[in-house]
Amino acid sequence: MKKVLIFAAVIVAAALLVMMVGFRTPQARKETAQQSVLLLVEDDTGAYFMQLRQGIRKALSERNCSLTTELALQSGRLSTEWQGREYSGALVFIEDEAVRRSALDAMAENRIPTVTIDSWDGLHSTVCQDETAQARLLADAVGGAERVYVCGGGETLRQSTRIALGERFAEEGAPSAGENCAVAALDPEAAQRLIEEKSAGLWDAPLIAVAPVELSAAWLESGLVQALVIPSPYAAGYIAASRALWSEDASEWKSPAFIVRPEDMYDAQNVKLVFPLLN
Amino acid sequence: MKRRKDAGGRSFGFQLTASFMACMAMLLVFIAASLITPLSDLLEQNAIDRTKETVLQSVSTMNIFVDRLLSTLYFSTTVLPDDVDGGVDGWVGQMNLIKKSNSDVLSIALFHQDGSLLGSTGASAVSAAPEEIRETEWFQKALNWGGTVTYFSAPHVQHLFSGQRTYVITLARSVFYQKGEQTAQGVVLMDVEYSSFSSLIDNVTLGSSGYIYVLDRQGELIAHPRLQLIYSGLAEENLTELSRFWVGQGRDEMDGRERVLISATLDQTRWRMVGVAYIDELLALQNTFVRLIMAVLVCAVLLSVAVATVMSYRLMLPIRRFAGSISRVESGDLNVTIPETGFREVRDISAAFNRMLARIRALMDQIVQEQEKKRLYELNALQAQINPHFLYNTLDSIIWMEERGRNREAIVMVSSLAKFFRISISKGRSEITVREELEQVRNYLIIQKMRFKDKFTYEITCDEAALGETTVKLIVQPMVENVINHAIDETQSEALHISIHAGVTEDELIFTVADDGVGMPPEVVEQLLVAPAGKSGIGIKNVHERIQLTYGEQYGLKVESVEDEGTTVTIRLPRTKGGEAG
Repeated sequence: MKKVLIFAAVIVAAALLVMMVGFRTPQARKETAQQSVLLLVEDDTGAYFMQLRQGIRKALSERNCSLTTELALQSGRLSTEWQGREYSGALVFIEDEAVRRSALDAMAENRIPTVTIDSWDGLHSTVCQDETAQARLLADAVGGAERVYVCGGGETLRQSTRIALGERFAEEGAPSAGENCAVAALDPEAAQRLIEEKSAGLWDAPLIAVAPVELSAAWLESGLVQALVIPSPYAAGYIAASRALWSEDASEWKSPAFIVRPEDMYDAQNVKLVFPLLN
Repeated sequence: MKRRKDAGGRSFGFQLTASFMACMAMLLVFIAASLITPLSDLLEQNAIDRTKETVLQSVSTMNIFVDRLLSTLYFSTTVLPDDVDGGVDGWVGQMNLIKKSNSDVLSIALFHQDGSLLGSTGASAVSAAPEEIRETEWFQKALNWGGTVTYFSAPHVQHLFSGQRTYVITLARSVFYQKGEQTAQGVVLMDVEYSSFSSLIDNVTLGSSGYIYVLDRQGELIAHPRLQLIYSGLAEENLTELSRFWVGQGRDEMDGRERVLISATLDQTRWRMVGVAYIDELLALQNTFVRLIMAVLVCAVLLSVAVATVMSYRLMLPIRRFAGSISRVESGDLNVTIPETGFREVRDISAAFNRMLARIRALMDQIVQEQEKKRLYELNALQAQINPHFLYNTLDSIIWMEERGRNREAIVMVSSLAKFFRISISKGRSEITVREELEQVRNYLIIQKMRFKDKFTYEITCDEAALGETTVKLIVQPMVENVINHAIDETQSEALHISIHAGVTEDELIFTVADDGVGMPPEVVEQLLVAPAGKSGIGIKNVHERIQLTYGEQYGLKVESVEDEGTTVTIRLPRTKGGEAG
């Protein structure tokens, strides 16, 4: 009798187990799988950051993940507030190399999978601006100009621009009157200086700038800039949170670049790029 | 136990459990099969219907929103001053009130037909020249439609007013007013925050990742939860299927997932609102339902196994006890009593078996008693054979014969006595042949004849068929002894005649011992078979009972006697050889 009762009890227990597993709803499974992602930044202001975070939020909402934004530096020292909490991954958007390195070390110590944004250290996955694409767009924008005076920019972008422009690439210089040329500014400071020169009437060649979004609208509306090559921080944030963070290998992801001209700056496709904080 | 295993085959309990489980499994599979398909279809249709309802609800909400905007715009055209040359400050004041009470409205402005701004709730200056305004789509269309239809723009950045960069939807409607002596035409423009519009669809989810988007009349996306991703080239929307129908329902596939598309048109704008729901999410309930049914099914089968096992065990327990008891009985233990528990039928069987056992015990006891009695009677019969008195008389007769030199007679008597005892002992057998039985009687009579001389005569006859039959031994001689002891009339000179016959009928062996002696009165005859032994001779009752114990109560002795005429004793026994003896 005892054996039979034990057998029956085991069968009933198995039946209950089957019922428990069967009646466990997908919602319950989803809730237990909810993840949180940390965004560690140096500065949480500015249009670029806001758009970047919008892209991250969009990606995480699609994955049913939550986002926590923390400032990397607290009173000049690396913040420790985020440490000791459970994060499925971290996105590091810190320009200062020393701070970034400290943050990455801390992430490694806490064994949090990390993605860097706009910086590449070879150890972590990263999302960077596609400077090759930017150079190609710039080369397209100069049209039939025989010579393009290139000002400013980092080493990589300048190299990409040199390749894209080929023989038309010219080091910094002022275009002479009647010359079939264009001027390219590869960073905001160079663009600002060249706009001032152009508005002062020092030269009148088409000006194409590679710059982030903050000043884009004013430059385009002023008519002083004929084309603006702009990155998409929204896309960068989305790529970082939707793809790079969940990638197995440390790889480099490129965020797309776009070109906007005064005549299409109000087109639906461009308004969010030119006016990133529009509702 | 081992023998039972060796017997092989499945137990009744196992077959009962297996049959029950098989029936349950078949029943459950049948129920599941007949339920899952129709209910799955029903759930799928129900999920699509609910999605449709959600989309239509969003369309309805959007229509209400648009109607409210149209009412506001229409109201703005009805409160214009009698003559705009007198100024439109009053109208602007009213529009400001409307703007304050309606957070969706960003600005309301009145333009003259030449493109000049007459008044607005926002900035007092426009960044565009009147001729530029005249070229705009909203202005031209509103003017051309003459106040009968309201123009709706796609979402765009409004940069008409100085210092403003807002993402809006523009509504424009032509209006006629008095300007001095003339009736003039103008356009009322109303900018509505795009976020007010997009929030109506952004928060709508169909399933867990389904969504709603809006297309303008040209099929361009004007609102989409992933609009920015689409513009950034990080996402795309499959609009191919939508080109095949304007309103209604369709299906397509994107990123390997099948989708249901539900399209409906907004009343005023003729924009299309498209709901996208993923089939796998819609069918989540269906999958859950199927999973639940499967879980219930498996659970039911498992529970039926448990119930069948316990029930089978409970059912089989009294039967096992019963079988165990039968084994004990089989091995000779008749003092077994089966508990009368369990199901009614088993209780009945147990009770019947207990009754049967009690009956067997009683019969066994009876048999033992009868055997003991039989042995006792045989012993008595044997003791009677070696009656000291008979032996003494016989030996005395032999001595007497020897003394007289009658050696030959003495030899005959000794020889008969020896044969008489040899047959009495019969190597311990309780049954002998009729031939032996008659031979013993003959030997006895030879001895007695030598002693009693002319006191009696005898004859022994036998059917040929009777000789080979068997009989319990020592049944005829006691009858003959009784005749010699009691039937001889000393007063008569005529010798007593004893007639002994062994014959057979179809199924009986019959001995007859008849004499023509003094006979017996009826009351003595009646007591012969019931009186204690010894009173009516040594063995009439002994013989009668031995026969009945051996062959049954239908056999035995029958005594018929007539006083002064004689007595006949008939001994009836069953034939053992069926007439084959010879």
